[in-house]
Amino acid sequence: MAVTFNIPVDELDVAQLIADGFTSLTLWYADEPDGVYQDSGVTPDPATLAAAVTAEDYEFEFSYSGGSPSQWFKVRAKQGISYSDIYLSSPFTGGSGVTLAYLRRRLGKMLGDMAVITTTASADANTATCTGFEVKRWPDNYFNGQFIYRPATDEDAIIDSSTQSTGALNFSPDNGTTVGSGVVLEITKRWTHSEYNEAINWACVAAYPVLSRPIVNTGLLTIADTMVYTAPQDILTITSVEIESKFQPDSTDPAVRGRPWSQVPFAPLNEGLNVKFELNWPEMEDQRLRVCGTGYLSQMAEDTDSTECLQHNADLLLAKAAERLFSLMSMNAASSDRDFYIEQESRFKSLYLESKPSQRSKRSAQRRWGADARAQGGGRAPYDPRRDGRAP
Amino acid sequence: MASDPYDIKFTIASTDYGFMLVSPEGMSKQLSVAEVGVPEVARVSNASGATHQDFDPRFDTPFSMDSFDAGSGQALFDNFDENAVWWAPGVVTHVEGKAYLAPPVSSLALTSATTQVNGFYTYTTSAGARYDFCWSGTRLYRRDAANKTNPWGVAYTHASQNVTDFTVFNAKGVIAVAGDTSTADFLNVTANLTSGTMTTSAANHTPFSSGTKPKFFKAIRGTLYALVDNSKVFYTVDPTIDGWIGPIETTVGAGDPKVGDGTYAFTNVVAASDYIFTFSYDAGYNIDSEQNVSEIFAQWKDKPATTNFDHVAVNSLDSTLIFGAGNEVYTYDPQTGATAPMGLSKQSGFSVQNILGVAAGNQFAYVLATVRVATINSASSVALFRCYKMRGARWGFEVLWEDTAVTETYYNLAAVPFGLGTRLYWGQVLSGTASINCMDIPADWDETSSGSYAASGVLYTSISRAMFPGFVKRHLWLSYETDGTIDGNNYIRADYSTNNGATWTPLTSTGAGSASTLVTRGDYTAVASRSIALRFVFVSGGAVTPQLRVFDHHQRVRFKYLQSIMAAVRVADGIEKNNGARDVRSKATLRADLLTLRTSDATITYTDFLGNSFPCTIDMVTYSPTRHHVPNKTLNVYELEAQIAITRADDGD
Repeated sequence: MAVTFNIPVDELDVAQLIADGFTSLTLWYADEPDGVYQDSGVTPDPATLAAAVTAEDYEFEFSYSGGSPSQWFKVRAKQGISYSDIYLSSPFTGGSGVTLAYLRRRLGKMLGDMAVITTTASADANTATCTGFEVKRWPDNYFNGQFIYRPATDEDAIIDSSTQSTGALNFSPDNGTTVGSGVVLEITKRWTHSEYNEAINWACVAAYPVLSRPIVNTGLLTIADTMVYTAPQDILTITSVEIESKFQPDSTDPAVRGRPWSQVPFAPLNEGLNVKFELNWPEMEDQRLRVCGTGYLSQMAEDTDSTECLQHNADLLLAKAAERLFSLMSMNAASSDRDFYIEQESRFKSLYLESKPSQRSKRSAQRRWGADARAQGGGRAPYDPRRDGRAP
Repeated sequence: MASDPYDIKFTIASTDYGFMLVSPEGMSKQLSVAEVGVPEVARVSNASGATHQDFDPRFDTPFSMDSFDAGSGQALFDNFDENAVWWAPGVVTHVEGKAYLAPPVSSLALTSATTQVNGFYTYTTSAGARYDFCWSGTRLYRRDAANKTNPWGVAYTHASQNVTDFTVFNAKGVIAVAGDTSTADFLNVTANLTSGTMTTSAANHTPFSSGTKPKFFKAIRGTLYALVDNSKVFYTVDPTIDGWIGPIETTVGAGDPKVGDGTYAFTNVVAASDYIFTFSYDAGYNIDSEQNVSEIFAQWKDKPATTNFDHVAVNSLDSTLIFGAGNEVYTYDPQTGATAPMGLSKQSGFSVQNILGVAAGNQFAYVLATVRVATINSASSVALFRCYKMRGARWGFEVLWEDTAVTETYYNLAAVPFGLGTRLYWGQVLSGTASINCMDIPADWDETSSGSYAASGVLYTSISRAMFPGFVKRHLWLSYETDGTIDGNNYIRADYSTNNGATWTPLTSTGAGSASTLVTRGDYTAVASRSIALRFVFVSGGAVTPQLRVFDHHQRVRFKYLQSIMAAVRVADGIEKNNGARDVRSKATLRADLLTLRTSDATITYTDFLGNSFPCTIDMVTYSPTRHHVPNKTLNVYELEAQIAITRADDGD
């Protein structure tokens, strides 16, 4: 899947980069926002800083055919074989948020429960060898009873013994194939990777509406003398309903046709699980409606699946997931262990509540068809660009 | 930690049994590590000499002696005689309350003598002048015994045969040369008995005309007895004339009574308590005044040996016979007929390998023997014992002299009067040259004022052990009280050994000394061991003897570190381990594991998160339920808590 980014750079900044000896901009990518970034090798347009100055075009377009919206990116200036410091560039998402693998590992670290290791030597189907410090720091048999997950082949096992001197981890049942060198493995103490995934997906739902997926649907057309419409199924809460203008009704350019949209008063009607809304706009016909609302965060099945979170509200999501994990753990724990689990459950619940105001999903204010609108007998609301979903 | 991922772990063979400790809210893990208590001191040792102080770490264990009169021969201190020592060559110990140097030894040459000295004889003239005789090879030697230095001179030399005996009868000498094949049956000394070369007259008497000549003479009751191999004993009141009576037969079937055996030649003869005692390799016979013969030493009839009755003496103090047989010296009381070993061969401190000579004076018996003092000496040595009666039937032995680098061949020992004292002679042959060693022993029971002492002597104490090999004792200090340690030439140095006498380390010395009674103290520096032996080295200028009166060594037992642990472990389903993982074992499995551990006879290794690791026994397992308040939870409200008593089961640290 290709991704394309347009990176606008202030012309003064371009001049400063040239003055500092940089010649071009480069696009770097990583699977996780705090992962190790690699140069994509993509040549932007304009190709060089000098070319941007010459063309007076300061919006650099990177088309990365090998990229993915679930990846994270940084832009760095290049000078021969050197690059600007990586910390000077903030990571940005490819567009689809964070992946399940990223969330699981971030949750594992948050809980102090997971070690992600990469094997350093080929062993056999029931042995992984990692001489990294994350394994060799622990004495013999420290890992006994912990879970080991091999994401590449989706195989779980339990560690039977560990040897500090060699970094060998023996587990059962056997993997289907030998654990070679360079294999990424996740070692968890209390929960399996499945339990992690379930808890994260549960949190995606349970965190609603604090965390939500914004939905914009322009598929509905007004129907003459019809005032009640059924919202798209994925919208749980309608935040605004807009109607397109008559401007260039034949244009196929979504940036042109029907703009500007006009916000119309509406009243949400929940009928069973159906979300409907009522408009007081009977003269309309065959005009597109733009229904904006929110739904659950996307749930994930594969490690590469992603959900609509950025880094900051990923922690909010994971606090909810952590609460879930400890809650479930206390259900069937030995009784004297429960105090700890319940304590941890409460801790993450508090963390969730404390972080909720600042880390919740961006959400538009809901405009409803109130008494004032009804008294006016209809009419368009004043155009407000902040409500069209494009302005920040 | 070795017990990962559990708090504590037990291992039988290669099977691990891990447990998590109970950790009540607000409290630490329920593990109490203590030490196995000090054993009941009255039961800690069956050693007769051990006291509670030996095993109470709060008190010093005294290793002290204030008398050494039980003599040498005791390797271990605690079990036997508190007054005995291991080995004390050159040190006199028989006087209660002190140990001091033995008299010095001098050597006198035997002109032209090349073989062992076969006998000694002493003679006092009617005027009181004493002459000592000995014979080696064909020569009879004589010296004026007025002092210790007069030389031995040749008094008689046979043309070809060895002199086998010499005695003085009716103030006239009689020389036996049993191997003489001429008509001379023996020799009567007719002149120059006490000076110059003896004038002799060859006797050609009827009883010996068959060719078998007298081998030994012994005078008793105004009668001279002549022993003729292998079984005949003739007697006469005047050996200068052919008037012998007999023979008295000690051979079965050759006369009455028929008790003897003629297989072996005579090896010795003594007279005691109006009896003549004759000896051969296999038996000893008593001939009374009626010429009746009885076989009084029949124990060796089936064990004939050249070492049987090779050396015989009469103890003047109680008229007992003393004789060597094998590597033991026996006493025989003619009055009671009791024969008893001295116990010389059954000493833990030394082993007697060969009896080289036996003698007796007015107060003591003396034994010259080849001995092996294991550990102290790296090879066999030759020691001169002075033996004295102790309580009961016990004998004490002190070592007056020892040659630890034996290149000589020592043989024969004699004790002859020296004033009121005793003069000891013992022969030696070194590189084909024979000589006589001489030691003058004062008559004083306590000889510390005699004024003549050996240059040095060593007293090795018995080994004081910590009793159990697993115990060590830390050695603190030693003090000892001495007299006669007057200066740097007359001192006593104290050494110690912690390896049963293999090596010795000097601790302290009386040094410059004092004319007064001196107490010397030495402190040990970081010395701990399972045993200790002390060595006191006596050094004298010759005129004064250092005297060791008392020593006290202080040591304190260090018990091995043996842990005793009480642990409370959780017995429940799904217990979380230290690494966050949950135990897959059920409550029932944990209980079964505890039962296995409690009842196992196998070696169980205990390890815990504190770093302890040692073999152990599980001495007690008890259970009690504990309730944990969990709001809104109805399952697993109760857990079992097992209390385990664990005791280290090896020799500890």
